[in-house]
Amino acid sequence: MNAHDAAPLIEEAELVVVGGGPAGSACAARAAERGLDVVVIDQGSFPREKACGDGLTRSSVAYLHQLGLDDLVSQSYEIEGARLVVSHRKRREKRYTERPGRPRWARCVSRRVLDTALLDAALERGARFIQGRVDAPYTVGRRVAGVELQTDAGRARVGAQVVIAADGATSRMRRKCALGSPNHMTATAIRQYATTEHELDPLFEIYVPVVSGADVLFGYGWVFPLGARLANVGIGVGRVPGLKQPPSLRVMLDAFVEQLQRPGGAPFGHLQLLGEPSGSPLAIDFSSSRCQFENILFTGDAARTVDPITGEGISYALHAGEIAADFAYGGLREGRSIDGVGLHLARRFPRLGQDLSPAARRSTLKLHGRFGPEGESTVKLKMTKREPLLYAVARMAATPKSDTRLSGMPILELLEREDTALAEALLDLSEKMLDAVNTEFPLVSEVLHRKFRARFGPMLAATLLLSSSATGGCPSDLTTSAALACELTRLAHITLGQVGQDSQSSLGHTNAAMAILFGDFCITRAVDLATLTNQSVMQSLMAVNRDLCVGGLLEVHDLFDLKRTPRRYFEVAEKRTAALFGLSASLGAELAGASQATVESVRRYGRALGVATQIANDVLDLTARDEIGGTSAGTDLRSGIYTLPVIYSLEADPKVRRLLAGRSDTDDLPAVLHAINASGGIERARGVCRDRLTEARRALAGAVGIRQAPLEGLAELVLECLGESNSSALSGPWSVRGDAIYAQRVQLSDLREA
Amino acid sequence: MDTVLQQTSTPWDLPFEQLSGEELCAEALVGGAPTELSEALTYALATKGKGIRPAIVLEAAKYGPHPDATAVRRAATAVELLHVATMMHDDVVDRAALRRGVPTVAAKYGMATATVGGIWLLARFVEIMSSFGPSVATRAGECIARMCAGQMLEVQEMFNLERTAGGYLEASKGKTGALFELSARLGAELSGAPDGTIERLTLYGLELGVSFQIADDVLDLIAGDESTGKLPGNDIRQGVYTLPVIYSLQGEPKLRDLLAHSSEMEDLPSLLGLINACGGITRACGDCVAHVEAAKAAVLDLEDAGILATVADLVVSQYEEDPWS
Repeated sequence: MNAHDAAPLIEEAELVVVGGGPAGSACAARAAERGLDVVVIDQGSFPREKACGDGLTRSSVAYLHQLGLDDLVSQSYEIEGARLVVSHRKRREKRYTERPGRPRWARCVSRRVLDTALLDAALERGARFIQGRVDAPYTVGRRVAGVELQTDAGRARVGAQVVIAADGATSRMRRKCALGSPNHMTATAIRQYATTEHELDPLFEIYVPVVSGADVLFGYGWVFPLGARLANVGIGVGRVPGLKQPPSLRVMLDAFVEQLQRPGGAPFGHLQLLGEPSGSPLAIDFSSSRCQFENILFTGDAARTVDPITGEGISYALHAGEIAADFAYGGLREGRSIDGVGLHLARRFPRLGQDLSPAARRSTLKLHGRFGPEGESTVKLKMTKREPLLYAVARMAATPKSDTRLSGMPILELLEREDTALAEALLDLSEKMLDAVNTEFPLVSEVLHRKFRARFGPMLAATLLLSSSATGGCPSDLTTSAALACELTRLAHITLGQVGQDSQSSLGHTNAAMAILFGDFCITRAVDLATLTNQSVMQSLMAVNRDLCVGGLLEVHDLFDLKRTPRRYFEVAEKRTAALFGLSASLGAELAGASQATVESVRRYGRALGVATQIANDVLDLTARDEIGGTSAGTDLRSGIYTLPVIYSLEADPKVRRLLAGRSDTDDLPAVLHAINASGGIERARGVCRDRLTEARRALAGAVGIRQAPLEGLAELVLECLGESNSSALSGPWSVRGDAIYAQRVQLSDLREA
Repeated sequence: MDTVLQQTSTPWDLPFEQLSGEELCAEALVGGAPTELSEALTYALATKGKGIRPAIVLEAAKYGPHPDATAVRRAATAVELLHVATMMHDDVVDRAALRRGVPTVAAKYGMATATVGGIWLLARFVEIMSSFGPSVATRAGECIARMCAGQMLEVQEMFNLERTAGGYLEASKGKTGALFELSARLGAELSGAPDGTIERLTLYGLELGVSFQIADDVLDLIAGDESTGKLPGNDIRQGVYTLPVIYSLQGEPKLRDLLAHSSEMEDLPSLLGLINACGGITRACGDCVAHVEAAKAAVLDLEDAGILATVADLVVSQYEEDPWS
């Protein structure tokens, strides 16, 4: 830019946030609260309208409370759950269950009110506001030094050290930085306000599928209540490569409203439309590599942080805004790099940016031809439920997103206490792990990311390997590859273990096919990484793979076997857990150059720890309260896996046998759990677990020349978890178990209900 | 087009020695598999197919100074173990009850056994490969990664009426081409063939693999229950649109409507008729021949490449009629 025609510099700040929507305001509020000098620029004068579904997830509500906007929350309309509607006779509801520390209800509030309150919260915290349309960043030398804008008073500049672009789905900043978009799905949505004849149910109503002529489209219609008789009625449709393009959204909205009005239609009766419909594009093409341009960080819709399945964007925007603020703060005040915000978002929200095209094509094709000339549907609810994508829409409106992060885990805290370098290495490894399962196949990445977070939790195999090789420095490439290969092997067999259970149903089949696909993928990755090590590592890992096969097979073989013996349980545990733990631990010592005797000691330690961990997990499965459902867990029991405490109970109390033998479904599960508890089987299993931990510690005593503290700490952690059956243990390293239960429940049990 | 294609009744008659089921089992069952698994694996290895991949290893080895090296024989066994492993997993994914007219492992021993058996064989494959040193191990790792990627690519394109011939080719190179390629390369490398020969044979393997995949996909559309153990049109039912279907979609708009609106496949016979009538199969067969010719051309300069050429021609001879002539 030539100095002569440069617009006047009207303001300077450390941080300039372009856009005063939820992402921009959340970012500004956070940054200002942390003490940064912040300016927010938006072209609108608040309050202003914004096309949206107006729904606030419970995660968003929690954020509003945290920001002190309690009044806003109490003035907004309570939503008690979600309802999936195929037709008014075919529908299914899900009410929110109470979870400690979470808001009880979701909410609905117009964006006019919400956005104003959020911006006010940012301004109260010290952010300044300038009204104007930001056109582009400007540079001084080669560095972005601020933004150029058009104000009422003419062209101007605002200087900044870091710029946050939160200027929405049609972001000008994004275009100016030529961040473009990867070429796959896009989506659009349209909404209209309406008053209703009768009272609305306090539910997010989701209407699927969307039909246009003879074609089924990928999307859903919604009726979200903003008041007892005030609704936000809308429709959102994805444009999927390989499927028919949707016609005009306006036409589709009219058709949807007409469908709601049909005789025998919606219970809320006649709709009186208010004002004009308003539509907006949904930016769902998130890409972790397109969230930053030098010192400009993108967030919210401008970074495409919109759920590609539900189209939900507010809760993502709020969190992404905060994340951007934290990155900016780190860069401005703590001398850290501001790079990596995109990767951070991708990890935190693995669903973002997923290309759902194949699943969308499958879902919609399956539903074709099931609609009559009058739009009457022959689709069964069951069928809808079998379509993972359609069902996912409703499910996600009703259940919280899981957000398990390794950083909060006690394992890490432990390592940080014992060995900072080791903790760093583990964090680094967890990032590499996510990269390893990241692929050019979005469907796979989506599922594996979810699995990784839900099932994977603390990377025990990798942790063991790193811990036993800890020398105080950065682990070598060889060690890293071996650790990743071990961990991927674990993930593969957890995934493959699903095959065989529930194999008769069509859903069981779909799960099996997917499990094979993803399990094979993990194994392949593990082998690929193992080739970076050496022959002996590769061969040991493959031998362990075969052990895992045998263990898995024995477990399936024993399903629902009331005569299962402790010996058999240990045989399986040796193959399924001890083999891999023993290998991981011994490989670490070996790669660190320990003596053969030490390697053997560490292997014995690993094997004993493996069995102990297995028992602890099995005990927890019986005693833990499932955070999400508020019910007792017993996942293994439900699947017919009789673990050590159950086997001991069967030996001790004939009543348990009777209960288990006569059990046709899971209704009497609480009774079974109670009987198991009363029989002392759980206590006995705990005792065995403690013995194994002692054995592990004793084995460790023979290890020379390696750092024992982290390994002893790991054994200690298992012991801690074992003793506790309340939520404090659940928030320990096994809190992933809660997510595992959640994941499994939504994948299998919920769907099986149909 | 009037020609109705059928699979030839004569099975493959390979002009060279085959690995025996016992030989395969000996390599597969190292390390003490439990009885149930041993039985299932023995069954799978006994009912294996044409054995074309190990045959390629053994044939390719003849272009080096040590065709009878133990390593060659073990490598031939290993690639067959990997092939059978993928078959076992495919049968779980496809829910196939029969393969080549006999019950699949998944049907006979259960899905869990078939899954685990596949991983077991894969582990054995990697173990054997890694015993040949780091470079072979790396190639083996690359090969399974490519196979997996090919499979993923196919899943990604399921039910996609816009699938392209290029996308199909890419998936086929991974799904089938990678292992054919590895087989040819391994044979040549392990018997000490010169670099130029190894490169030629590698290309031969890849092209042959692709032609093999196209032929397989054509057969899926034309062959009935008895010959492949599958119903015709199984791929279409799964949403996998193979080359003949892709070509048919380009030339026949009616097919698009049929595919888009009959996901339950009530109209499968008329669908298959349409695909046959519009020449999609003929065009795919033409491509198959082109890849066979490319395979033959790759080894044209090699001395005594006759058998390799014969193997390539066998791919084409799977049809009774020669529709592209």
